[in-house]
Amino acid sequence: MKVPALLKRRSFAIGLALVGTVAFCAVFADLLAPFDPVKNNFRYRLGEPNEAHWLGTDRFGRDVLSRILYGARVSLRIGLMVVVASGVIGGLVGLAAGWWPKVDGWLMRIMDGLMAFPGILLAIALAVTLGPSEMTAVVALTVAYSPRTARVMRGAVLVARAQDYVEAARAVGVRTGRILRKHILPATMAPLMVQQTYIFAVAILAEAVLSFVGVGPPPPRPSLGAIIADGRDTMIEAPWIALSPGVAIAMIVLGLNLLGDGLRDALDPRMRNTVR
Amino acid sequence: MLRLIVVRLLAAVPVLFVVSLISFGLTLLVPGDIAAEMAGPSANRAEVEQIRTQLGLNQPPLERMLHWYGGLLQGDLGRSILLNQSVGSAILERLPVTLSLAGIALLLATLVGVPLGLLAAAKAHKWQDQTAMGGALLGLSLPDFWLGLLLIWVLAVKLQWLPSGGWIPFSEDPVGWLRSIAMPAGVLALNQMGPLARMTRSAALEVANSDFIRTARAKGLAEPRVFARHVLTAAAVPILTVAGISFGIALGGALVIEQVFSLPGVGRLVIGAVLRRDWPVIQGGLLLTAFVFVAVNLIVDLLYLWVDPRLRESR
Repeated sequence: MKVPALLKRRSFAIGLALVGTVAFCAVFADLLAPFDPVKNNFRYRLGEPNEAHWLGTDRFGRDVLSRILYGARVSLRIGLMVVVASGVIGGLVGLAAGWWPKVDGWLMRIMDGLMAFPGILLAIALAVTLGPSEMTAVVALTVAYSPRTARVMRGAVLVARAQDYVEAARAVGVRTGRILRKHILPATMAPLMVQQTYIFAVAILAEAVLSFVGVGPPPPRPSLGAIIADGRDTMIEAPWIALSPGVAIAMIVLGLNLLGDGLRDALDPRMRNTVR
Repeated sequence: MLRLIVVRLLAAVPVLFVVSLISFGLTLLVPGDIAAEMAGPSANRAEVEQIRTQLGLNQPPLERMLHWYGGLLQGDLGRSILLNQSVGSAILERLPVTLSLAGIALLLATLVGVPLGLLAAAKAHKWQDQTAMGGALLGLSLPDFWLGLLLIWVLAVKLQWLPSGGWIPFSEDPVGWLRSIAMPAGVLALNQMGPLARMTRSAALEVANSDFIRTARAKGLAEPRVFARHVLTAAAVPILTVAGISFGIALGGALVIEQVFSLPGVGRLVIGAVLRRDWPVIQGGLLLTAFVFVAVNLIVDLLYLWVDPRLRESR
């Protein structure tokens, strides 16, 4: 599927625009942020939104807009790392489970066990076990959400494995490694990509929760969730601190979900009815 | 029928074993000295040692594990050091709040989400479909805790229609209970409505072209009745699957949303324990929520048999 054809799908185009906007702001936060996100200014504490501070200031007089721009960077970075890590780990587990029936039962029981916990609770418990940091958040979310990828990957491998061309390759004696690389993996890329787009969305939301309950990456580099947590105590005097970062999160997550839907419909019409 | 139920119950055993292994194994991963951390910086050596003995941390890991499993089999999840209460009773005391929150949220989500999905399927690719699905997608994309704060600000602070938090038991004051649960359950329902509506739509579209649907139309059934009676019945299994998964997510959501609305549920207990490193409570909370989730999905499995007679024979 070529990119221009993808862009004709409305959900994909809107999703790309939403994610692209936030990603652009996050990447160029250094240039775009009007103020230093961690510099206190006690003369402008809890300042209402005005011409200089478009989204007001927080209880330390820090510019909320600048904090959101840098926060989006942290959230996106963590989300992206979770996407890659869970794609590799979940992908390999799913590949092994789908290809070798001997390990299938064992691997999937472990995945079922991991998925029996509410993902967010498992992530919170892991984050506190390993001690809060950006890397911990990535590890915790990867453990919590890789099983979903593994399950999707296993299904895709099972489908590919049953194809005639795979059977033909096995019949003429192609080595397993080569079959997996040349025939199975390419066939699983479409569902994997769609799944990882949704995982990206889920990871951004879950990271926000980690930060909100206080086990996310520690200050001074706050993610979007941490800014919301920070503004919670001053909700009544200064609601803009807690409310505006949520709009950024919603933009990213809605955008990623739209991207996922668009990709899913475009890459494989048969997948339109699969559960997320 | 009975054989099927037994098979399903047995299949849950290895999952629960993995769940218990993970819940226990967590403490082995803690890098520092658990006892010293729990005792706090001001504790003296004797206090630290006392906690160490209480938690059995002076024993080797394998012995600790056997001891833990031994307790587990007798329904003993250990003791919370901070609450000075057994973990089991601390969780069970608070479970009704969390379960009613997640349950009501799922009920609300189903009551809105399923009809919305059916409407979208009936009007596929028309504006009704796009509006409904856009709404569903937006609902599942909003961070639940943030939505909670937003609602508190609008409905409790500005309009003063509802309390901003706190819990009133149903037995004390049903109206007060409804007012205390309306916002948190509404937030969770808005999140869960999305997947349900999306699944209902796609499952309904899948069966909408079947012969028996055409027959139903041919014999002159009105369109709403076709959808309510025939399409919904045929699409019930995938919808139930999503409802089962949604319950797990709603449970996780309930744990978080309890922080926002100050509800005295399992989430407040466990996340409080997380912040104060009360390991027995963290382990017990993980174990029990997973247990509830497995039980709910077992019930969902059995409901399949009820809604789809074909499954009773084929397996």
